[in-house]
Amino acid sequence: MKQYIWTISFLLVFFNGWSHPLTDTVKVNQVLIVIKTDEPKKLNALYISNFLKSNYTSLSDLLTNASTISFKNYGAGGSSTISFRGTNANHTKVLWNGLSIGSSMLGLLDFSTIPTNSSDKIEIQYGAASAEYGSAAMGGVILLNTNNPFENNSNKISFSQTYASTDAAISQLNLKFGKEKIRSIFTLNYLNNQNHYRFSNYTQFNNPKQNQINAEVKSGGIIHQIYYQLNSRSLFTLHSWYQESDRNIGPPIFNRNQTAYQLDHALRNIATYSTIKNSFHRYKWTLGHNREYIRYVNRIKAGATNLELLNSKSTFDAINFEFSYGRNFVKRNEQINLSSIYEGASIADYGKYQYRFRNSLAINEEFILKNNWTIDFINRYEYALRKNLFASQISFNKKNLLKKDLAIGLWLSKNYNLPSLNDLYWQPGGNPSLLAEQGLELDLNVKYKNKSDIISLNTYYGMINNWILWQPAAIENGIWTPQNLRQVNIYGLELIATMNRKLGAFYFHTNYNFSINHAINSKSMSLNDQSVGKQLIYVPINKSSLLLKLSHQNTWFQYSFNYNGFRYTSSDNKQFLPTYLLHDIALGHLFLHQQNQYQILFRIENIGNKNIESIPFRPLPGRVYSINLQLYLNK
Amino acid sequence: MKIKLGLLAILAISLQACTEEPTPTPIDPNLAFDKGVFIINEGNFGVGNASIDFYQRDSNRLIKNVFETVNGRPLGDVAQSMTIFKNKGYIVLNGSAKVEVIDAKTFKSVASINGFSSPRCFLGVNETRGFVADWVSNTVKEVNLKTNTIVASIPVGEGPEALILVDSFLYVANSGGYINDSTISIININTNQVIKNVIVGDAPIAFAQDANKDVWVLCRGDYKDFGMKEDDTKGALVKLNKYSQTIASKIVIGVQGDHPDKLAITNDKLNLLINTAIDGANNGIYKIGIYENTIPMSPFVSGYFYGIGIDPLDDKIYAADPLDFSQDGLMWRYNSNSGILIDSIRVGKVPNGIHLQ
Repeated sequence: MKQYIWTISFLLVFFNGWSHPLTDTVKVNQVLIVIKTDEPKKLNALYISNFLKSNYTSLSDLLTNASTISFKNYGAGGSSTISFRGTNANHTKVLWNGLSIGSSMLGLLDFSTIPTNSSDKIEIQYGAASAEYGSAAMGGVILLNTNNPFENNSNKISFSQTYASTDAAISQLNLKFGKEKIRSIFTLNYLNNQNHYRFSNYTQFNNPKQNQINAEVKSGGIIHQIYYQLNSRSLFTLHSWYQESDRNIGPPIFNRNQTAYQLDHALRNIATYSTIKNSFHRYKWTLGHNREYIRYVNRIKAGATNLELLNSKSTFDAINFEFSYGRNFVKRNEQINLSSIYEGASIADYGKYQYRFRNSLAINEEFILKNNWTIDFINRYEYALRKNLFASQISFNKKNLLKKDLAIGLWLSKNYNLPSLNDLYWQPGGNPSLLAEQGLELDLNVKYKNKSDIISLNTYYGMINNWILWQPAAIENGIWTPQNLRQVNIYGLELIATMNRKLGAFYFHTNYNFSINHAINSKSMSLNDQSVGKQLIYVPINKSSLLLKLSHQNTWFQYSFNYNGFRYTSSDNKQFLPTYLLHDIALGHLFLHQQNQYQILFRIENIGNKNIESIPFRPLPGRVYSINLQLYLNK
Repeated sequence: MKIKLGLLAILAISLQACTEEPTPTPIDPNLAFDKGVFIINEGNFGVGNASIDFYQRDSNRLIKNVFETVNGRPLGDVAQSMTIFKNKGYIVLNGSAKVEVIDAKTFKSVASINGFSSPRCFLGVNETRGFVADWVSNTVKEVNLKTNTIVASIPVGEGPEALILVDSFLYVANSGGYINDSTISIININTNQVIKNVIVGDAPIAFAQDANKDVWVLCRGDYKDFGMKEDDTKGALVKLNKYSQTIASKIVIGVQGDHPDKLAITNDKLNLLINTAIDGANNGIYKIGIYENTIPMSPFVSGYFYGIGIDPLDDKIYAADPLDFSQDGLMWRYNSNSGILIDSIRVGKVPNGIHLQ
């Protein structure tokens, strides 16, 4: 509780007026303190600030520490999967420049494989949005977008190099260059983390200190994007991203003879052509391809030999063609979106290649009314798995309440989520007759914004029916099968605050995230089912994080905490992982030379050196020291 | 000002809304394990939540998770079986690749035996000798019970699962690991040599010895590709002649896809209990006398069960029900003469069997 009291005191002090709000025009020492309260058009969406983004190299670390979203982290070298508003990993949609990434075969994305420099702007959309984005957007949507380079024509090089005490080296390079009509963005990322750290093995006599073993991770990626301005009204873009990750996965501490290895290759290509005709007709064509290859090997050491328990290779392909047309009137905006998606996967466990086609039509009508009210209708029809699926959303928004600082929005949506290919076709157990999950959600959002602050409060209530759960088909043969078994009620609250203040020669920047997420199983599966009315496993009810930056001239100190409430690990809520609270500190300095910037940052994470686990028996690192060097060259 | 007050209210709500962490069950300092039923909860594979519960018949009291409660550390991953031998308990942890040795009276940890790949079952021979079936390595390991170390490794068939000792012969059910096997291996424990492999039926998985000292082998049948039951082979109950170590009789169980997997024998050693489906349905426990040669068409006790056992004191049948595999399971208790339900006990996660002392 202490951290809440401390944080609240801190926030209240901010609002008691002893300090002066910053404006986006304030500049100190030319470049360092450029603060903008940038926000997306949608009321229920927020950007992750560039400052927060620059503090983390993987998307899972960034969102864990700088959003209300929680993650299941499978330990050193292991994957990291999302839980947004208490939903499953397959309920959050992630789009990179409009292309859905992740695998519909597994139904999820491993966020540990996504470097933060893969996009310029990270936008989080809170709440279900199937009508706009289709299947999988039941908890929310994460948009990873590249800024249009024609909006800022300068040529830039940025480079970041980090060394950490787990024997990790992380490099990220971004090049932006081009001419008047064609611009190119070139991005590289490389990570080599030996994951050398020690932990206390509480499964053995006297809790011996042991070294993490078999958890080396190497990953690298290359992204190339071209923007070609055909004329003042037409733009052609190409985005290509190849990412590879080669990793050993640290064993559970109860059996250090179990070793696993995973190789991931992901290739994403997108081509778009967009044009505007007669001033207000907007057309856009998109062709996208996403390929995910995964090889997973699980071994157990018996004496001197390693016995292979599992050696699985899978390839997933998705091809997406999309056409959208939009036009804007004085009091009305409308958009029509047509899309065709092919999804196919190859793995020995399916017996044969399996694929599906998905075709959808979405129509969006927005009416601009008096007194800054807008009403937005979105309806989507999709034909997939020989079934008709519908999603709808109606939202009411009012801006400029109370001195034009406040906006309020209400959303009501009907959503769906298709089963993954594994749910349908995995042998043994896959269930081709599975239905899509269906959800209803009500969201209320209040957002306060001025030139230096954004405070957003979301509350939500939702029901998800036909929730897919793998259960034993018949206990005696050990075969599990997915069925549309559960109904889950979700409700909660999110508070996200970004504030900037000046006090004398000091500048404060703070980002605070707080959430309460209840995800309750409300349907009994048998007479003796004790999971009814209980919180879903691995969903923390409380989560909060704070980052506070205190700057003086070109030097700054930052403090952050990450509070993760306890998480139940059994469906009857009798077992749980304890709460953890981690504190990080960092000290940074910026050197300026002509138009270029050079930055150095020393950081200590988990300063209390606490043993923590996101999944039982998969210890995460204790205290980690790191040094980060960044340079920004402008021309 | 209104905004500030609103924010204050929101933050106050935030403060109130913090949910307190559940309090762990306190340790009972007077735990004693003289007489009662040990319930083996294997837990979920790879999750490390196996546990042993202790049920006191007299007081009708269940003490949960006794290993962790007494020893202050978790038991491990997938408790496959527990055997009490010479005042010590041997808990076989398949996922943790170890055997935990405990004092049978106090449940205090004595040793951990390591060096297995995937142990399934323990069998004690005398003060110094014990054997463990090691499923993935296709071996039976001999363990020195004084030093609690592995002293010999005897190659057998695929996926050794169950063990039974008949005089100086150790019978090993080769259940098939990642491929099918249909044999039992017979080891002479004086030489630690396999003297014979007997073909009994696909996937032999459990043993029982009857009043005549004949050995019964339950064969689960092969799943083949798991995808369709039409290519499965049928399960069977096979009787081996004690002296000739050859098949004396064989009863085919059900149809393709039924797959019997648990076997127990009543205390008079005259009736066998088999957990299976028959004709693709009617899941439950079937009772067959040792002199009968057909499986009844309807179960003695209906239900899906993950393990079965019989209390030697009062003959009650214990049938394990893991429910959704993510919450605490149930141990149903039935009258072994009538098959009528007596009661149920809420036990640990994924119960798979019992051991009694």
